[in-house]
Amino acid sequence: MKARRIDLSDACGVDDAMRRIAIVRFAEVLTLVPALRHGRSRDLHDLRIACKRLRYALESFTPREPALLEAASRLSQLQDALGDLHDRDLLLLAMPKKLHVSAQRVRMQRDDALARARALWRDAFAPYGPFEGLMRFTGLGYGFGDGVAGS
Amino acid sequence: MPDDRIAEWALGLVKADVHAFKRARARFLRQPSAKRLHDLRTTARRLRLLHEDLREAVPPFSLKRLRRLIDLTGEARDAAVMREALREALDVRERRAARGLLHALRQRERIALNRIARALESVRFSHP
Repeated sequence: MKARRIDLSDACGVDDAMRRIAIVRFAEVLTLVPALRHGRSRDLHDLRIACKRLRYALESFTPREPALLEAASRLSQLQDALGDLHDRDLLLLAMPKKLHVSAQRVRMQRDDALARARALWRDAFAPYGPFEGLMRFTGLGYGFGDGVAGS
Repeated sequence: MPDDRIAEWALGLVKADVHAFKRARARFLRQPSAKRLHDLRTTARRLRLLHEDLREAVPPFSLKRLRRLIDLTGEARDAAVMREALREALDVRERRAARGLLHALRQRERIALNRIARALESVRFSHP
């Protein structure tokens, strides 16, 4: 998914610019999060990239807005889990059919990574959880986190 | 065009990321390693994504070569990670059947690493 262009032309100061960027990047993540439920590789890959964009932005903002640090850290964990999953997907595509026992193990590792990502996402929205500061900063994300079942 | 405070703040962030990338590049060129490749890749991607967020607020500069470098580091990293994951999951009875793939992944990584060294020579920043 291509990242949305962010309009900063009429932003009122640095805090407003940071907020606009965080809102757009967080909205991109929230739009893609149904991938955690259905587990399709392509969509999970897009979600991972969106998490990365948001995380990097938040890490740049934390010197001015330390409340975003926990969200950045949770996004990093989420990105790791989704990265492990993506690596297994790539490997499964490259593995010849005769490696079927090993492929089965790789599929189990993929499932573990997906379960880990789901748990990290759900837990991020707990009261006073890692996304609390991000939700307050952007005004987004309320009501999310419950919808990721299937783990 | 955003106001001066935003432009100044954005330029500061981009400059810090350019500096981090240049440091990672120098370390990798001095002595390549998996860790240094990871740092190189991470700093390059961070710079590219930050630029996408702030492109309206900073002077324009071309990211074409940086993108090429990110692709190459991705190829090297994917091959290395897939090789490691395959080794980890490999059933002992399928060891022989996996030799071809392991060899191909090693080759892919080697070729990508050579290309990275060449690409690094051509990544220059006149801005910011």
